[in-house]
Amino acid sequence: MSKNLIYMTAINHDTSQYLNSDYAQYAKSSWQAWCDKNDIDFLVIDKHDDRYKYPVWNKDLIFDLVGDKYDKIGYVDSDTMVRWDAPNPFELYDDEFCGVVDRGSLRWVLNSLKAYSEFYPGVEVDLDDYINSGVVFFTKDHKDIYDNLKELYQKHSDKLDNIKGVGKVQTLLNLELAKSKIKKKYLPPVWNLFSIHKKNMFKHNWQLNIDTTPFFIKYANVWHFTGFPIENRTSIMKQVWDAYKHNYE
Amino acid sequence: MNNIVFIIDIKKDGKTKKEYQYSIDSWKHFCDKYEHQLVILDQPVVDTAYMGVIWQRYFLFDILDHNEIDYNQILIVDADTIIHPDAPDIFTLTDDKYCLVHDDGDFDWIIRSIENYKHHLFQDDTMFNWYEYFNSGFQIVNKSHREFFNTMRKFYEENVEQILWCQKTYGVGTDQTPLNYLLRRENIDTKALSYKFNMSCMAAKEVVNEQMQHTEVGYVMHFNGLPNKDQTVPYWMEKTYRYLYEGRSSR
Repeated sequence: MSKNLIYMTAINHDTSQYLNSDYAQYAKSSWQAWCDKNDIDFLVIDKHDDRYKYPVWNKDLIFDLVGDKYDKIGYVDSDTMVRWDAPNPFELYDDEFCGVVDRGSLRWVLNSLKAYSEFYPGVEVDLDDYINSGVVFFTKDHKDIYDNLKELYQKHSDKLDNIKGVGKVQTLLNLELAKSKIKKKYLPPVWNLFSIHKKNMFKHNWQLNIDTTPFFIKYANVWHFTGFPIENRTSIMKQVWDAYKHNYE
Repeated sequence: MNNIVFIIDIKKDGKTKKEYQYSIDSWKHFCDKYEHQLVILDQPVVDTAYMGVIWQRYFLFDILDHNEIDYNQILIVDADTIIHPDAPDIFTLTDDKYCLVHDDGDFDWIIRSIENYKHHLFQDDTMFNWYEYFNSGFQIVNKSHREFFNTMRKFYEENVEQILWCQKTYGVGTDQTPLNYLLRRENIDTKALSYKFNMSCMAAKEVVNEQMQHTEVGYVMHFNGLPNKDQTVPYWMEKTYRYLYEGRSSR
């Protein structure tokens, strides 16, 4: 049986407002250590493919890079960190496409679905099925999903690159999954804890004050540092790494 | 047989909240549409100094018996909700189980509530996942749950001082967290319905806005967790009701 793979896109690019490597260094360190511990391969896509305007699209190239070498593959954004003792997510599914339902901003989701619906006429995504694309797990049999997304970009790159304020790849992935009627599995939010500040999980239980561990550290496996002002991201991820890096050694 | 929608709208200082009437009217529409019965509790069963009105919902079966109301399933729903006129018949979704919706809001409050109640009242119970915490503002039950409601009340009676102390000291809810622990302790067969059936903390999801996007998301809009609630809850409940049922905005 082949090994499984976690991959991440971590690319410094002139279209990005902030240098990716400033914060991705902490993401990579945590995932590398966790993958080593769990005998899982870890791949970082750090070279931009010039077919794309924005680096975020590079994640769709995974099968160009690894072919069918891996049975199961996980994608993680470069603003995520994994808890040092997180269990193995590859044991949670068989042949499904897995993600965490995203209700972080329903306004954003509704607007994004509206903006991208023209590329998927007649396809509807139920809000109960809409997943965050920053952490997803799938299998080599899902290659078609990524092939279709690559083809869509090739056909409509000008239009797609001009859509602003409603994300780039997430809603398209959801539309593609809906169109393909792919069997999905919804993982609990511990596998992609986004909008941590809106969930109020940077706090600890200050009333009992028995354990000062912040809730997100204590109660989640994958922390996704998004949904708050991007200028705070590097500093928060650095603080987390500095406080807990000894656990990864 | 009769299904019931049960809402508590008890007067405080001789008045009920005006916005609750919008909730009641929306649920009346739902009941008329699907031939269910709306029951409003407008008087406390016991002294509210002893037991707050929220806890008094666990007198439900006695209230129905006392009023000789026959029933099959009962939805207990908070009066700060508005149901969408296009909602499906919720009672067809239950599989005859105890149905609730996972709370999706302020997890600092939820986790503190889970931890604090465990520390003081549920030391021997197993902690459950924070993301599987049910909101008590929407519960569907049937006759088989009568005994569990007795358990809830008995728990209150036996622990009243500690419960009131927890409520006052920590401010992390009344019946909701004990309900979550006791459902698990008593191995009640629950079914979690979609967020669409109890859309809690909508403000945090940035969906309550003048474009009325909250009316596009689901079926039962729960106007909790709004900032400046004394102003915003009446405003949004009236506006939402008029938008959905009268086809015009209140402003």
